[in-house]
Parts: sequence; structure tokens; C-alpha cells
Amino acid sequence: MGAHYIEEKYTFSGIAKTLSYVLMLIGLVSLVFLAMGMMGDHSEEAHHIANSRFWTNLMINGFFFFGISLAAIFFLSIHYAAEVAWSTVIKRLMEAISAYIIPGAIPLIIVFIGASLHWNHIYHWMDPHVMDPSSEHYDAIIAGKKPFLNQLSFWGFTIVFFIGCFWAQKAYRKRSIAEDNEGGLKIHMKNFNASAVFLVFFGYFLMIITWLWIMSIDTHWFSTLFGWYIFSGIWISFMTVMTMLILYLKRNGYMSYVNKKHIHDMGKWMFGISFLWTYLWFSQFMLIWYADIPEEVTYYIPRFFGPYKGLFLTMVFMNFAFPMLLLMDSDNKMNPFWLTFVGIIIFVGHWIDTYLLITPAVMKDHFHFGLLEVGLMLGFLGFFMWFVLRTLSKENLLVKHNPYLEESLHHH
Amino acid sequence: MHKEAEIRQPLILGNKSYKQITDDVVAPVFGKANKLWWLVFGISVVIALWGVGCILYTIGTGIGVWGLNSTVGWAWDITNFVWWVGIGHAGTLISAVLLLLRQKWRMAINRSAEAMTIFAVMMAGLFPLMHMGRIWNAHWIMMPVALFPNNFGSLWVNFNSPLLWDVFAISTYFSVSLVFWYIGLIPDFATIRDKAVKPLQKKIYGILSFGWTGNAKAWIRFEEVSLVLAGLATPLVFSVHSIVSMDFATSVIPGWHTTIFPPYFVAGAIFSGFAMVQTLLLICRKVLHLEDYITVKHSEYMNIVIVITGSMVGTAYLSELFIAWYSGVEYESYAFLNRATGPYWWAYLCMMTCNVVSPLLFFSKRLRTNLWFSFIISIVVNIGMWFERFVIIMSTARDYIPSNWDYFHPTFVDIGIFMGTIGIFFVLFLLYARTFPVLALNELKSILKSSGDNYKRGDVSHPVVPLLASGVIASPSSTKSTAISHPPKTKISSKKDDLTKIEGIGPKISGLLQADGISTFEALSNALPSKLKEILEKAGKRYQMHDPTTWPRQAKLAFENKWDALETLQDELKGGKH
Amino acid sequence: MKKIYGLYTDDGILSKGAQALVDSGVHVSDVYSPFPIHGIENIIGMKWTRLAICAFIYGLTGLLIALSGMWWFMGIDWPMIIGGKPNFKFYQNLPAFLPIAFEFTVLCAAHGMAITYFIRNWTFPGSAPRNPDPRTTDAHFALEVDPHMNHKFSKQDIVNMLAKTGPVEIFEKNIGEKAHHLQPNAQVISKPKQSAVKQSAVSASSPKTSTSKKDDLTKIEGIGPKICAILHDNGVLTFDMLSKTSPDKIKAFLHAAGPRYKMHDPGSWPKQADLAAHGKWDELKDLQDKLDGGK
Repeated sequence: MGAHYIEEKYTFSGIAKTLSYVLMLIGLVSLVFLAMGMMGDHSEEAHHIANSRFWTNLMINGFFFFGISLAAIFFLSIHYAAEVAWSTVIKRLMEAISAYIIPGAIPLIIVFIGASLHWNHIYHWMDPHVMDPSSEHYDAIIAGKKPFLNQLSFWGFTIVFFIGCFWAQKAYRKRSIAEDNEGGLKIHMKNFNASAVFLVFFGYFLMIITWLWIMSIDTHWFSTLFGWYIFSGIWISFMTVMTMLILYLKRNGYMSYVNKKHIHDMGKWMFGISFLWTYLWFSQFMLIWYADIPEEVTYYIPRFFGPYKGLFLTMVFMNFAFPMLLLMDSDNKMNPFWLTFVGIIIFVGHWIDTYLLITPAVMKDHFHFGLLEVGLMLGFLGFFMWFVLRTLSKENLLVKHNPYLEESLHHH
Repeated sequence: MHKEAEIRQPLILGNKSYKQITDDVVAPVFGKANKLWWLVFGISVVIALWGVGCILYTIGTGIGVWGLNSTVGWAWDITNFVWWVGIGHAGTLISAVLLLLRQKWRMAINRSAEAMTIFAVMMAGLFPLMHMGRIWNAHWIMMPVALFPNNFGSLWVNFNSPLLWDVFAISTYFSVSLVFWYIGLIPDFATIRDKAVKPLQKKIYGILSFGWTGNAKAWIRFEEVSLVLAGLATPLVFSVHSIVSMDFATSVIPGWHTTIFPPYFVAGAIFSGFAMVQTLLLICRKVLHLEDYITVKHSEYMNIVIVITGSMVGTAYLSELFIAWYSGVEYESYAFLNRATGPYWWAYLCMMTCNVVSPLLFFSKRLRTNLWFSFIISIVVNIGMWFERFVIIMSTARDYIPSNWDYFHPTFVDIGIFMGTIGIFFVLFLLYARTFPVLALNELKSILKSSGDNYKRGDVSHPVVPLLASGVIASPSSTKSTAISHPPKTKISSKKDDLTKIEGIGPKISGLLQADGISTFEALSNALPSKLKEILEKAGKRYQMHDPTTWPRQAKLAFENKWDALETLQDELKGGKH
Repeated sequence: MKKIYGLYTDDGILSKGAQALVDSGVHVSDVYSPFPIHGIENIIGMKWTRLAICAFIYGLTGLLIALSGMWWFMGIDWPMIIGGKPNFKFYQNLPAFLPIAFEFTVLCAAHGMAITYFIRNWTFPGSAPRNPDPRTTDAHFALEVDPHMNHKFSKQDIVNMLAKTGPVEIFEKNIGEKAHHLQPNAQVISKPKQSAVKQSAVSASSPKTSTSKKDDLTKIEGIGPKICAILHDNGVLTFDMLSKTSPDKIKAFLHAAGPRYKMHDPGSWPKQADLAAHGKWDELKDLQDKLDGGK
């Protein structure tokens, strides 16, 4: 009984490559236009708005795509830790998406440096006047959070988090390739152990990171559920991207060993995690709505009554109703058309969710949602595509010598 | 056939066949209880009776006999309620979520876990009912008062109230779990019905099994119903404990109103539920001799779930604590400070140690595969989870008016009722263990070929093909088959074949067979596997693991000189497996 | 007319048998088993159930009842303002209605489907079982052929065809009555030929007499013909060679030959081979007595 070693490599060329370049170009143009908005002799307020618009867009896209690759590392860890077999055939795809975490961190680092140097005002608490009792802008509540909301802890946690994630990504990838070449159970067990350690690290640090990076943008506001909510959002975005990548590769004749059942499982995950996200969204929203405590409802007021209302309700509807209604049927969970259709809706829906996490607090009532926002998103998408597909083309599409490979190939 | 990775450990140990599984599982139903069972049952009955006495006393006298006071209006009873409901979560989780995630190890534990769910939710339901005081009016919350006319006319219960949500959630959860459990039980009741000899037993299990037939269409429907019920039960598990948490979290009381409550209660419920499953199954395993089915690996898997959910609960504790400070809301901060350093600091300490620290020990492989240690930790976790609820609820002991602050003292009735529910729970579970198939027979049989130890080792084959292939149809009369298993003596003396040509036979076994008169391929091809097995078993323990089922078939080919065919067959066989 | 049943002891044999029967044009009306056999519905041409659609409809009904009920109770019939929540407008109060709406949806879907399931199976408390043999709920599998549906074949044809698929018993019965056992025609069963005895004896003795380079390594406890062949392929031809091969190396050969050989432990083989190479057969026997399956 010989093991199935299928030598198959993805070649990154043709439409996909062209498309990624076109998208990157669109993104670059949008970025230039956004940056140009800050120049010229506007009033101070107009300048402030243009500045905020530029940086929030960088932050939204930076975090959204970073989150996808972060969730890829998480899912890869689950794959190892829970002794999952079926996803072994698509492990390389997860690795390729997770590899984006390093270039994906760059926009975030730029935004954070910008914030620390006061080039932007995404983080209200970074303004020294807010913490200064003698200043007229002094805010006692924010000042009370100083032990946590300060440059040192911000950068400290951020750097530790980056190091942890980079380490996990590198380790998984390196060992996966080593397993291809050498084989043996030892390498797999090393990944198994690493995954357990990483999951603990991830569990605690993701909470802190989401508080620092995103919750602190609405500086007064707080919610204990916030970390888990963000987590479910990046997870579903990743599952969607993953499904689309599988469908794309299969459409182009790759991965004949990925059968209907693998696709079905991806469909089930998309369906299930959409529910999880909705559940967490509802839990947070309903409890705040029900108790109606002023400190808490501030978060939902601009989103529910302000200019963001339409976008907010559309987002919830997109992210819940479409997957629920269209993926409930098990045949649809295997159908490439429906998966792509719902996938695009979820992808856009969660991008809007990320937009709504950040924008209302920074831009306040100056609601901007135009071509430049979409353009920059497409640009990031192009870069993401380019990087992931390029990484994917470097190694064999199917892993070798993995102890679960046979079981995964016979998944049914 | 499903292909399972070699690296996976077997989930069914020993040399099992479909028949053996049935016999092992139904043994407690037909057999007599052992001393250990009577001992545990006796103790449980005594405690249960104590509890029933306290319950009757409460109903007869009023809830004034409890230790409630003006600030703590909701103490012992709600703690117990949430604790029991939480425990009830593991059963449905195991049968629903793990079914959807295709975790095969759930097969050995889901039946008992679901039974535990049913009994735990029953215990939970007692507390709100008792707290109503006038329990005879309990139907008023279930049915609109409009149907039971009163002074106000058509007055409805408040559908905005989380307490009413809870009524709907718990009753839906209880009834759906019951249906899910029972539908799974029907085929196994049918097995007992068809095995039973005593008329009364046959009759009872006949009624319970709903005339189950096990035809193809029934199984198709069975699988579809199980899958859809699992799909429905999964969000149900989440919703139920979320709604329980909303009893607290929709309020504006510091320490209660926090958005993480719904998922954190769910994680905590799974955490304590798995701990209780662990406790019960480790007892079950010993008392009912199910070591081959509830293996150390099962226990390890459950411990891993305990670590994961324990860590989730841990992150939730810490984020609650952190956000209480971060929010800058003084009342919120004080509530948490009070929990850790106030009069109930000991409960807080107990909760933190039992729930956050102790499961972390399971990161050590040696500890999580140690059954005694697992048993102890499973109890420790449930003690911790009781205190978690107690700590949360005691937030109200210090409300906004310091002159009201009080300390809660449970009365003997409080303690009696709580201990009593544990007693009743164990009585029910022990009765269940003696009368129900405690393992899901039909599901276990369906994983035998992929996860059975003997199949994984490759020691088994189909026991019957050789009979027909070698020209024998086993007839129901036993005389005929025994006649065949003894080949005519005249042939034996004539010649000896080298039986080691048969895959699975070495020189030693060859010697054994020859000693028993089977010295030629022909004789071997005519021998019944059961007879061969008998020979092997007689020869000593170490031969028991050999499975001779394919030997006659192989021997027949050898006898007919079809060496190529034999080799192909041996290639196909995995030392005997198809 | 009675139906004909073949009784099997293995689901795999039954599935293959059913496939063979269907291939030869027999209509298999049903299969009875102690657990679901996956894929059998495709073999015998049975449609998948539509119970899931029922569940969806019941669920939707429940959702509508719950939502419209709460709209009417709380807003129309007896409007209430509790805790400052505006109940009069249904959509403004929707978040508070969702938990019960969800629970009621699940309640209706689950119970509706369970009731439909019992009705479709026509099984109720106390119904009489309709399986042809009580053993089919334990460890046996029955395949049902209705002669009515198979006019092409005579009863004996069906029995003969069934006999070839490897059942342990063939019988006919009406549900609730006694079974009558059937035997296939004699020619269906291939009788072993007497003339083959000599040939087998000759060829069986050939490895023993082979004095050339190859030894019969199956003499070693733990080595069967397959492993013997693997060792020969790897150049370990004689007892002497085997005695000088380290267990690790043997293990590597076995590993390379496929995962199913992994479980073999060659630890004692060189020692056994050493004795065999020196013709110490008695000592080898003693050693093998002590060993447990070659370990």
C-alpha cells in the first residue's frame, strides 16, 4: 500500500496575476488620492478630516487582511491540536494564507508609528493633553486608564504579539516543508506541541490586542465580549477566503483529490462560524441595548442613529441572513456557485464590519464612503492575492508524509 | 470503507465483534447488580430521601425556611439551578456538536452524557419551581394567564423578561434533549428486546423500542433525524446557557451586567458538564466493566476539552476583572474588588484555584492520562464551578445601600435540598445504568471497523465467506456444522502440508493445529473459524489475539493449488482484514 | 407469498452481495441491519428522506407563531411598559423577542420532525417489530428479496444467486410467522477436487527442499509468507543473513513495505535465525515457546 504522493504545483500566472497587478494599481491610485486629500490649503477641519480618512482606511484594510492571516494561523493550530484529518489536503493553502501575516503587519505598524508620532489621531488617548490634568482637554476617565493605555504597553503588547504570531507561522511552515522532505512522526508531533502553546498564547493575547488596537479607538467605551467578537469576525473572513481559494484552484484544474466532502466541510464551517459571529454580535448588542447604561450605549448611538445606520444594518443583514438562508441546505454547502455568491457577501460584509469598528470613532459624523475606500480595499486585496498565490506556488500543493494524509484523502 | 490514520489510537479495545459489543453492553441489563452498585445506590437513596424531606418541608412551610435575606434574595437556589443547568450542557454538546465535527470518540460516551443532561436539567428545574413558593400555580408561567382567568382578565406573562426566556429555553432544551436521546435509544432498546429471554423484560423493551425494525429506510430516516436534531441542538446549547446568563446580564447590577456573560457561561457550562461526564463515566467504566469502550484515550479527550473550556473561562475571568477596572465605573470596580477581597474572598479563591489553575495540570500528558487524577480533578472542577455561580450571585450581598449589606448563611434546608438533588441525580443515573444500554450500540458498531483495536491491528476478517466458498452453507442445525469441523480421520494420517504458508500461521500455530488433527490444507479449509479459535484459546492466552477467520479460505486456495490467487488474497488481507 | 431473506454476518459482505444481486437484475426490496450501512440506499435504489425539509417548515411555522404571538400579546391585547421598554412598536422591541422566537422555532422544528419521523416509520409504543430475524438487531444483517418483484426469476434462482453472495442462512418467511430454511442447488457450491491433494502436497513441500540460497524464513515465529517475501526482496535470503541483520534494519524494511507491517516486532528474529542457521531446532523451539508472537 503505497502512500499517495501527488506532485502538483500551482503556477501563478495568467488572469490571476494580471488581476492582482490591476487591483494593486487601483489601490495605489486610491492611496495617492487619499494622500492628496491631505494636501492643499484647506481649512484646518477639512485637513483633519482628510488626514483621518487616509489613516482610518489604512487601518481598516491593514487590520482586515492581517486578521485573515491571523485566523489562518489559529485554524492551522486547531488543525494540529485537535488531530483533525480532513483538512490535511488543504494545509498548504492555510500555510500560504498565514504567510501573509508578515507583510500584512507592515500597514498596521505604519499606522501605529503614525499614531505614536501624532501624524494621525486614530487613538484619541495618545494625545498627551487628554491625560494632562492641567489641560483644558483633560479627560478624567481616559486618564484613569493610563496604566494600560500608554505607549509602552501599546508597543510592548503589540511587539510580543507580532513575535508570537510570526514564530508560529514560521515554525509551522518550516516543519511542514521539512515533513515533506524527511517524513517521520517527530515533525508532526513538534507541530502538535507548538499548536497547544500557541493556542494558549493566542487566547490571552488576542483579547489584549483587540482592546489596545480597536476597542481603545472608542476610548470611553468598553465591552468584555469585544475580543471574542473580533475573533469570530476574523475567523469567518478567513474561512470564506479559504473556501474561495479552494474553489478557484479546483476550477483551474488543480487539487483533484479535494472532493465534495471537503468542500462540504468548508461550507459547514462558513455556515457555522457565521452563526457564531451573529451570536456574539447579538449578545453584545442585546445586552447593551437592554440595560441601556449611558457609558455603554455610546458605542451604538452613532452606528444606529448616526450616518452609519444604513451601513450598519446592511452589514448585520449581509453577515447573518445570507449565510443562514442560502447555506442551510446541505447541497448548497457543496455548490461552487452558492459558496462563491455567499462568500463574496460575507467577505464584503465583514470588511464593512471592520470599517464600522474603526471609522465612527475617528471620523465622527464626517461619514465618507466612496470610491477611494473601495479602491484601497481592492488594492489590499490585490496585494493579498499576489502574496498568497505566490507563496502557494512555491511548494507542492499537497503535503507529503503527514500521518493524517491518507485519512484526509479518503474523507467522506 | 473509512480509512483512518494509523496514528489514531483505537477507540474500542480488545478483540471485539459486533456480537461481542452487544453482549458487553447489554450485560448489565440482563445480569445482576454487583456489590459496588448496591453500595453507591444505597448511599444515593439515603441522600435523596433527605433531600425529598427538605423539599416537602419547604413546600409545606414556605421559602422562609431558606436562608435568604433582603439583599440576597436569590442565593442558594439560583446557584444550584445554574450549576445543574450548566452540567446538563455536556450531553447535548457531545451528541450534537461532536457529531457535526465527526469526533468518533463521542460514540462511547454520548448516551450516558445525554442521560446525565436529562437528569441534570430535571434537578435544575426543581429550584425555580420551589422558589415560586406556590408550586401548584407553576403552570401560570408556562401558559398565558389568559387561559386561567383571574381578576385582571387577559393578562399575559412578560415576554420581555429574561426569566420567561429562561422558562422557554429550559423547557425547549429539556424536551428536545429528551427526544434526541430517546430516538437514539430506540434501536438499542430493540436489540435488548430481541435478546431478552424473560417475557416481562421482552414486553417492556418491546414497548420502549416502538417496534423498531432496522430496515434501510428506517436507518436513512434515523440518520437524517439525528443530523437535523444535532443541527438544531447545537445553537440550542449555546442559546440555553446564554439565556441563563441573561437572567443576570440584562440587569444593571455591577458584576452582573457584562457582555461576555453569554459565551462565558456557555464555556463554563461545557467545562463543568464535561467534568461531570468524566466523573460519571469513570465510575460507570469500573462498575459496569466497560474498560474496553471507555478507554484512557476517551478520558484524555475529555480532559483536553476541560483544559480548553477551562482556559476560556480563565480568559473570561481575567477580562471581566480587567474591564471592571478599565471601564472607570466605580461600582463595577468595587463589585470585583469585593469579590476578591470582601467577605466571600474564600469562595473567590476556591473558584479561581479550582477552575483556572487545576485544569492547567492537564497540559501534562502523564496527568491527563491518569484516571485517578482525572477523576479527582473532575470533582474539583465541579466544586469550582459551583463556587463560580455562588461568587457571581453574592455580588448582591453588598448593594448600593451599605446599611443593607449582609452575609448569607444557608440553613439546613438549603444544604439538604442541594445535597438531595445530588442524591436524586445519582439514584436516577444508577437506575439508568442498570436498565438502559449505556453505550450507543448502533453507533459503536458503525465505528468498529475503523476504530476497533483488532481491526486496526489487522487481526480480523469476515467470519463467514469461507464457509460458502469452501462449499458449506452453515445450516441452523448445529449438528451439521460440527460434523464439518471434524474432517474425516483417514485423510489426516496420509500427509502433512506446510501450514505456515497461510498468512497468520507460524510454526507454533502450525504445530497446534497438527496436534488437533488439522495437518493438511484440505482439513484446514474445512475447519470452522470458531473451531480454530477454540484450538488457539485452549493453547494459551498468547494465542488469543490470533484471528483464524481467513485461514480456511486461504487454505482452500492452497489446497486447490491456486498459489497466485492465494498471494493476491494475502495481498488484500491486512493480516486477515479486508 | 413469502419473502426470501439472506442472513449475513458482515455489512461489507452484505453490501457486495446486494450489489451483485442488483447487477444481475434482482430487485432487492430491503435490508435489515443493527446499524446504518452507509451507501446501501444507492445500491438497492432507495430514495433519501425529505424529513429535513419538514423540519424547516415546522421551524418556520414556530418562528411565525412566536413572533406574531408576542406582537399581539405585548402590543395589542394587553400593552405593557416594563422597565421603560417601549413594547408598542414591535420592531423597536425586537431584540427582546428574539430569544423566545428562537427557542420556539427550535421547539417546533425538533418535535415536529420527531413526530413525523415516528409516523413515517409507523412506529409507536408497543408496535410489533417487523424485522425478519431477531438477530438483525444484534450482529446479523438480512437482505430481503420479494419474489413478487422478481418475476424474471424462479424462487430457486433467487436462492442460488443469494447463496453465491456469502450468506450464513437463507430462509423465507412472512413477518410474524416461522422461517423456512432454503438450500441452494448443489452445483452452486464448488466442491474441492480430490485430485488437487497430491499437487498441493508437492508444491507445499518445495520450500522445505530448496537447498539453494534461500531459507524458509517462515520457520521464525513472527514471520509469515508475506514478510518472508519482503525479507527475500531486501536480500535477506538465509537464516544466517537474517541473524546478522539488526532489528532496526528489519523494521525499516517492514516500514518501507507499508504501514500494515508496522505492528510487527522483529526484535527476536535475528536470535531465532541464529539458532536456525546453526540447526539448533530444539533450542529454537524452546525459545519460541517463551516468545509471544515473535516479540
